[in-house]
Amino acid sequence: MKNQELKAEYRSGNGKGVARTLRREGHVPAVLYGKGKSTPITLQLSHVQKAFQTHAGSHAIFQIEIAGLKDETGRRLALIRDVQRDPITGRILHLDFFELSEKDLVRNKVPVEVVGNIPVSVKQGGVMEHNVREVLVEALPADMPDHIKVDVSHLDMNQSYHVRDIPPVIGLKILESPETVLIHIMPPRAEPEPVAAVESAPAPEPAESAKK
Amino acid sequence: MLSPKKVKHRKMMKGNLKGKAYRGSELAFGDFGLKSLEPCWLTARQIEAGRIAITRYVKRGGKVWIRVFPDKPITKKPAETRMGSGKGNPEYWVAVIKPGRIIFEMEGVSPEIAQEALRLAAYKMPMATKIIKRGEEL
Repeated sequence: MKNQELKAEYRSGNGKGVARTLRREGHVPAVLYGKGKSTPITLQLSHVQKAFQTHAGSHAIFQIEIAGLKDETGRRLALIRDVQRDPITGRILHLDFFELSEKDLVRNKVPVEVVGNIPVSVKQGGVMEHNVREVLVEALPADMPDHIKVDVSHLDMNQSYHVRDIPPVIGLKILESPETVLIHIMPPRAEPEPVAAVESAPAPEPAESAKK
Repeated sequence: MLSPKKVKHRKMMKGNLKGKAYRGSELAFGDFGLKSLEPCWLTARQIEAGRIAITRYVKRGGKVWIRVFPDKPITKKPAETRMGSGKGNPEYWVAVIKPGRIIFEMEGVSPEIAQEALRLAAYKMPMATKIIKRGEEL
């Protein structure tokens, strides 16, 4: 996976007042932690949004260049541990970056991507259910994939694609249980009756008390 | 209609609807969802009406999740009754909805069908809603 470049600035202030001011100005407050220390930073919201729209999205490994650090080199390798969003608008409020070392193994959640032809069972009306959308893996930052690609074109109705079916990749260790179901093809549910049966509403019955 | 099987207390205080829904505000199962933009009490009947609207439009295929449960009993005094003499009888069940809460989720249908089904379900809701899609949270 190619590292995403992000530019950040060292943030001297903290607290909700500073954070709100930064957000008003189109920035995102963030924190970079790991290796026993924590660095408050701030990023441009538009840069973060652009980085999230790439193929790897928020699961990418980021090369963060921090301006304003006094005595250290500003380039850090990190991945996103947490994204806080506004529940209504979805705007990014805060980011947690976890600092990595190029030589150490890192654990990351990698999204599952369905590749190949649409299964015949789905064309016949089956529903492809994504039970698990992200898989926890361990690898060196250089070996970390964008996506785990799964080919489900051979799946029939009521069949599943498990973690054990993922083809092995050198340098990548999948930490999920091999029995975990990633994709399942469900048979179509029966068509509902066409006539709108207006339910004769009985007097709403209060539930029984457990005390009795 | 959805209702609890049993409850610890038959009647509940009104409570409040302040704040945003920090839990249950992101898509957890499906690819499309209906998100509340206003606070409200969503009755079991309204949830059922929304569910029926979705399943009728989708006809077959697809999967629908209801992300809220009406677990709050609402009481009402009978008509033409003098005030006093205690709290009324439980009449119906509601789910307390705060802005940002996902009400329905869908998967296994085309985007056009999902959007139209959720639009029809939104008409059954007592509050403003918006349709959200996985990967478009920015």
